[in-house]
Amino acid sequence: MSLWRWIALDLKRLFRGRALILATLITPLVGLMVFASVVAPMLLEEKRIIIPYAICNEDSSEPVRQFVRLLTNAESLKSLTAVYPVKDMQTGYELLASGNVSLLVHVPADFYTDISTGGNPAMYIIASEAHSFEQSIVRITVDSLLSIVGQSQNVLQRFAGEAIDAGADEAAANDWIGGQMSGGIEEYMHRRAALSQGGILSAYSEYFPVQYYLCALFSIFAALAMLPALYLSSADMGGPVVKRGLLASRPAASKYYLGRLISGAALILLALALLIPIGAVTEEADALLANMADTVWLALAPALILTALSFSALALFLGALINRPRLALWCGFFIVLTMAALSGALVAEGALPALLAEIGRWTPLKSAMSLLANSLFSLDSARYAQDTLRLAAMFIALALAGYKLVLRKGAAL
Amino acid sequence: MNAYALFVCRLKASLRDFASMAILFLCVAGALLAHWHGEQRQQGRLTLALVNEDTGRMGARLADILSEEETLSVRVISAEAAERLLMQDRAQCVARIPADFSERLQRREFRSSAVLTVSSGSAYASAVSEPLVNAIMKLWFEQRTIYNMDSFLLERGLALAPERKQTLEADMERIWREGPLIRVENITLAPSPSAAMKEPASIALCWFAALIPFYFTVNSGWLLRDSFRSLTGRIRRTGFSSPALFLTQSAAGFVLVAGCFALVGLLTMSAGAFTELVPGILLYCVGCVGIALTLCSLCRNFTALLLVAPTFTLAAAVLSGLLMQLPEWAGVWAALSNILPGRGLYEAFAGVPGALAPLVALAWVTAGLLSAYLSQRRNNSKRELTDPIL
Repeated sequence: MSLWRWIALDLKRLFRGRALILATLITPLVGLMVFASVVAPMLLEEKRIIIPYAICNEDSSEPVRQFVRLLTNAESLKSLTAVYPVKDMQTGYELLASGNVSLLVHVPADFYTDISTGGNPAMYIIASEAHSFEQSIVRITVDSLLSIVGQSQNVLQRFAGEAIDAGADEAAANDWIGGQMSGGIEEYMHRRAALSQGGILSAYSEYFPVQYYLCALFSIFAALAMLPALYLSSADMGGPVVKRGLLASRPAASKYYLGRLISGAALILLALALLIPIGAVTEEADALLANMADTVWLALAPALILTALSFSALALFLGALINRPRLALWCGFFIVLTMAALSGALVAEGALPALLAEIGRWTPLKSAMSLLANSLFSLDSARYAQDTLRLAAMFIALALAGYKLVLRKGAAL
Repeated sequence: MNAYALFVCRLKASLRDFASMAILFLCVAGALLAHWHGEQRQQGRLTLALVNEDTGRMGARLADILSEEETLSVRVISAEAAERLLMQDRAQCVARIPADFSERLQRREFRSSAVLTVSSGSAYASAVSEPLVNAIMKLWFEQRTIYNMDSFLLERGLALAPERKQTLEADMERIWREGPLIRVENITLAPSPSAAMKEPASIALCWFAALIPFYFTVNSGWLLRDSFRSLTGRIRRTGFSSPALFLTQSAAGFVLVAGCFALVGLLTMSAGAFTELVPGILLYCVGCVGIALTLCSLCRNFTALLLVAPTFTLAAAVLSGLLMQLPEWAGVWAALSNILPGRGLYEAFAGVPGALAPLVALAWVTAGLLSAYLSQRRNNSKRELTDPIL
């Protein structure tokens, strides 16, 4: 049989099952629609968490009032919390019970007296078990605040004592403490300046989450679209095509192999070609369409073809390796699942352990994902060339291995 | 031929089917992993990763001061490991202490003395970095106080002996280490009797419920096997009805999944709370059986089924709210999702079981039986002349 007849026959077999062709082409669209209409807008929403808490200050002394003011205006809590001062504990508990606040901070009536008389001063952060995380967040700031203010005072007193021992006047030493403390607190108000911003690290590399997962979806569906070709190849290798000796000669086996490679790639390419325009319905439409307008097609077209060929070669390799179609199908499915997990398509690449992420980089799915993302969103020619070479190397390795297996199964070797 | 024998045979076959059992195992493992991750977050183990590049001794002292923090876990690690922790959401921020950190503090400068890196998903970086800021301020305060004390004494023609200075520095370290005299206590409220009745379903159950339609669908692959088609004919001749046959065969998957639900539920929540969810879970499983039969009948071959199953599972999980709460603007999807059994389960998990759930389950199982019956009839009447390969 000629190469064209093999391709024509394969395409006929692949496209004959209406349910199968619908499953291959429609399910990615359904998946993408759900992603575009529900998941993508949620990914784009700002991750803003506000912890509402009530504060009940029963101590009317001025220093405690100042402390409460410092706490409620603390920079570390300002962006995270919403504070509701309450007049008594009863109101605080009611707010807690109704779920209007997550925590209740209680400063008891004798708080300052306990501090000044050397008692055992304590303040309380009250919450249910379900809000223990929020409890920890607020406690970090309260602890930290008490520590710096209270201990600085102790340090200064220790120094003043030393100065008096060295011969300084007691009144002057006490004045010195007051001056140092107020100067310290003034600087302390600007304490966040101690940190400079090192930037934001993203587990999604240089892409936004929507771009990242969009390309992950494209790649996963491209990989899944290899399953029909895999089933067909496996059935052929253990079935009539081999048993009738149709692949007994090297030229016949070569034509069969090439025909299957092309027809399998055609189906995958069709699934991908349908996905790209639909991807434009996501919130990233502007970026996607703007990029697709001009030269990006020149980069995208080879990327899509190479991706389709690589998955088709993988399908042929697996199909030639496993002669039981159902088993081959399951193996193919689990391989896609494993590749997706290792490539960061399920969990962002940056969040994977280093070793797994490195293994993932050597799977066709990761290379395809990276190539698509680069072509669609941030065309960097050096990266593009690197990804293309990597995917091309994997394609060649899979194609050669698959070809050898087909020759062997067809008794041409 | 009796129903029990058919059920037992299918159950044995399901248990022997390595691939679908692997899917079931992955569903359980995924659910327990999600639960573990949720618990870790709830326990509030907040972590600050510290990369110390300081060539002086202040960097080490900073790490010492931070290690005294009870509410925060501080890890002094390399830059690469710190970035990895941050991206894995196992640290809330990374602080890099530059090489000239000690030098700057000795010059009594605290501004920009550490570099803070946060992750795009971290919402707590400012709270977690607060102890770091305060620790830097303590070290700065030390240097400032020593310098000002020297000036204060110098103005009066006095000076501290070097050994006294050393004692003072040691005392300062002790004071910081001793911590504040004021205690901050966390008080955890005991759940009220009414709250105990409303113990929320565990994350594990939500995840398991979200993933399990995939297992149900692929486990119903028996409907597509040629061997089952010929078996159907033989069984029917014994007077066994088709719906009864489909139900006995589906019951095997149902029992396995119900068992796994119990396992996940009992491992992650109290038996009492789980018992309250059992009716909702059973209705959900019935609905899933119906959906699986419908999808199998529509797909007609296993390849198509394997392509449809993951997409359907993902879509159903998202729309029913089991994986994530649907936002307010997704009202249309929320309304449409009422036809999914997952919606009823989500409402049961939320403590407000909907009246629609039994009807949805019944509708799906009826649709499943009907479509399976029609599919069998079509196959029997055609006796495929088409290529059996696909």
